[in-house]
Amino acid sequence: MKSLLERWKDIRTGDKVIVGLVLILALAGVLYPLLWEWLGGDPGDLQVVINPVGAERQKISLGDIPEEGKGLIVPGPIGDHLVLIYPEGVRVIAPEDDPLKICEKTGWIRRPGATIVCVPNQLAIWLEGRDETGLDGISE
Amino acid sequence: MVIYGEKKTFDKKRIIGGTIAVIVIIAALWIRGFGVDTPSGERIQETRYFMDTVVTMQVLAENPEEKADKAFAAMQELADKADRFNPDSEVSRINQNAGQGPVEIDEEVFAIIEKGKRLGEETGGLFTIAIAPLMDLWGFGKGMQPSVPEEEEIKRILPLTALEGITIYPEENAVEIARGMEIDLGGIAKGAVVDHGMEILLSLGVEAAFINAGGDIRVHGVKEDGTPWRIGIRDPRREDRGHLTEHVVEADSGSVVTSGNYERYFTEDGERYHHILDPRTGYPAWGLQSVSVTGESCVTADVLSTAAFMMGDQALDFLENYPGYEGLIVDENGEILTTSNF
Repeated sequence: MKSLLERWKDIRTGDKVIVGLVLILALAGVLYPLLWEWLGGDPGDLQVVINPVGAERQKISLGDIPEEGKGLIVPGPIGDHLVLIYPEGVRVIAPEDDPLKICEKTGWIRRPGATIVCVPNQLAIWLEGRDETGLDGISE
Repeated sequence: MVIYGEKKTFDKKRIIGGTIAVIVIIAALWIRGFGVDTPSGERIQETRYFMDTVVTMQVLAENPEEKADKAFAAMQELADKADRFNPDSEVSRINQNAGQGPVEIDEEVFAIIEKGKRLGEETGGLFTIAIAPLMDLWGFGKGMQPSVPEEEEIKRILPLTALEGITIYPEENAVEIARGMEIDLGGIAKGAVVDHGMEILLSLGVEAAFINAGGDIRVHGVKEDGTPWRIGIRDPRREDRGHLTEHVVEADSGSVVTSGNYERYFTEDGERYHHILDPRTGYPAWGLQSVSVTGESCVTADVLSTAAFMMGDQALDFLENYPGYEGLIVDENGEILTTSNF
């Protein structure tokens, strides 16, 4: 009985190349997603969602925001919020009548899933996109 | 033209056949997630705003949008019924009838109140669903202007936060509270609503899901690649709202909830006052920056994290001895303490 090595030697070079290519493709199919994940994958585009209760939700891509940023006035029951959008993150300035100004104290949000909430003004803002930390969420 | 001998043709077939077998095995391993039973269907993520917070849901199932819609609707309905600031809620009906006898209420809200009272008693009253009068006195109620109350006022209000003033009638789904008392499910409703959302998803046959209501998180199943959900814990020492990189929770079932003093606070005369009020003293609890609790039920983790926050240096012992739940504590010096199985 011939060993596997001897049998392999009996096959034509062209067939060996085909077998080799098929194996490489199969392995690549397995390794590709792992390598993709390991290398960080597609960072995607970070988007800010501005959700005032009772008004239309806006979605803005941070990739479309100029370096100098963009200000957006969002009216609410207790006054106007100023939403400051920059390519690297978002923050808000609360209206004078906001008692705790939690939304302003929240400061910058920069990662997907991060939120800014203003309860008195019924405004919620959050970031969407691929989280490079690999987290599905943060308990806070 | 090359003519192969019979033996050579046989070997060639075997080797090509072997190659195909290897490919099939590799493909099978890939599809099965290397041995992990992975769920089928599509994964979607949907975010909505209710309970005064941002609620994010990921659902991995067939027709995930429809299932997420149903779960969101059920969650929102329960949240509305449990909201004391909604004048038509079940909780408002109890509060409006304080001192006037038992009030029969919706079964789901009754279950939250019953659980809140029982868990509150297990914490020696450190967690109380009757905290509303004290929260309002400090101005932590919705839309109120916070300020430090007079000491006398705090002393007057404190007896109204005691769980003894709440009577439960399980057979009638009824609740009675003493005059002057008010129920506030703010410390428990989020967890209860998250649990309810997950129950709805599971009843719809969802194999994997993730619900995050303002940091109260519950997960079930594994993602499509067979990996568990990964949950970070907010590091209260970091100004960028980042997480504790050395303490990431990976789970295919259960909840993670954190209570911290860094979100809702105000400053008066240079002193900072946060919203987690200790019913023993009437003042904000001190000694810790945050407490995170993991375990199966989100509502239990919610209550335990709040109660443990008030316990200061006793918190770790309490969590260590509470069956089925683990904890991570960041104390006022920034030191991280964990229970033995965290």
